[in-house]
Amino acid sequence: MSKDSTTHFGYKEVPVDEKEQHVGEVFHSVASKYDIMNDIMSMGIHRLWKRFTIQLSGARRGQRILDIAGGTGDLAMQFSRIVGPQGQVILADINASMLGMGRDKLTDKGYLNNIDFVQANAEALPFEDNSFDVMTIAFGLRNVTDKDKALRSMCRCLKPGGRLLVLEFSKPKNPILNKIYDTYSFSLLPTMGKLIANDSESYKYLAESIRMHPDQETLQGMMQDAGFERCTYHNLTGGIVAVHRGIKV
Amino acid sequence: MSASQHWLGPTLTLAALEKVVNTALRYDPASVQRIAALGGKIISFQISSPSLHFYLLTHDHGFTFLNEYEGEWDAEVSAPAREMLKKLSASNEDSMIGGNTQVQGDNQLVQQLQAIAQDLDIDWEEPLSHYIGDIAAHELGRHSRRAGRWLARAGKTLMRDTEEYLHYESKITVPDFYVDDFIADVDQIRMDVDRLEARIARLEKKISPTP
Repeated sequence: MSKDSTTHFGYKEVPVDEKEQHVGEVFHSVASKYDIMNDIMSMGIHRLWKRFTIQLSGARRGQRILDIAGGTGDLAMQFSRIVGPQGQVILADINASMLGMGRDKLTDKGYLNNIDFVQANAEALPFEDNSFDVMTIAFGLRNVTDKDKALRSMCRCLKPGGRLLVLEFSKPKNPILNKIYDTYSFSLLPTMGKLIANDSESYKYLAESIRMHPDQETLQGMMQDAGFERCTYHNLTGGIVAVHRGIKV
Repeated sequence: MSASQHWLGPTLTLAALEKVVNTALRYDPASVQRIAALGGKIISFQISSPSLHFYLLTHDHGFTFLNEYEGEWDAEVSAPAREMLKKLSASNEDSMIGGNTQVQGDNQLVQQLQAIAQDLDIDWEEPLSHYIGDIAAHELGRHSRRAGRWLARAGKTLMRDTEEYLHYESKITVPDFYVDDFIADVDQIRMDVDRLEARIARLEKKISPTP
């Protein structure tokens, strides 16, 4: 990749080395209202998408789990319950504001014993090779500048037999649903962002970044290229969201 | 390529169940402490009529309900839904094990869970007090408890009177002890017939000419 090359930031083209900073600004801005906005925007359904992802992860007692772009800790909290005191959960996020929100929320709820917090870039995970049983990235991959590099980094850190779960917005398969979803995303989302978080630009970015994210089949291919095998995906809510699962063999 | 469209109904059912149970537990901290003392245990529930299979995970914050669990469970309980609910209710004195309920694995863990469910004492006044104030919540709680006791007594009396009417006045049904005696008599006759049959067979064998 040349130094002058660009990448997308929503519908805008920005220099590759600036995307991380732009995404960082978006999440610094929305961190304090992140949970409430998720509940309102998805009408609470994001909790079911996350539960289903945990179900597919096959997590069990005593395992070591990494939740990348873990944000406010919804997945990490459930994983902490499942792995128990013998296991370990690491909540990693590149954004200090989001990580701080997650750490405060989990500490307030009494999750102290088996969760650690690490500020880390998904493209260069600061962990040993073959060190996690399960890895998840929920609504985070589309914000990563070099997705292929991030997937390779995840594959490196997973133990052989370990599973990667990618929960991400995707492409609805039904054209009518797609039309309704477009109207919702580009008209209602920024308005809700303005009213609740006083930030319409960040939610405009959210809608645009979803459209720029690879569709189900493309992401599946990217996971295979990164070294994952038996890659499958499940469409949820008509394909608005998809969970991809790959196994490191 | 491997893809599927997933229906979130079962996930929603368990999420709702978990929310209801853990919200109720918030108002009985003693039960949460007893659940936490169990450590991280996994109990598989195979419920029939209606059919439902789930895993219950115990932890410091109450319960987590899982649709799937790929590790080993500590105990498995198989029972019809109605019997399970009956055995978990406070007034029931039957052991969890027995009847149509089958338990595999750690029996003691299942008995402990049953005891926790039966001893559950939710302080309904606490959540109410947030909306209507402490004094009003206490008064409402007191009257509700009194009304509950009266309803329970009235219900028992009604059941007893109905039973007596059906057994002794209308003679539509017979009392339980008649049925029990009748079943015992039938069992006795069946055993007597079996014995007689065996004796006849033995006698026939004796008197029949040996080849």
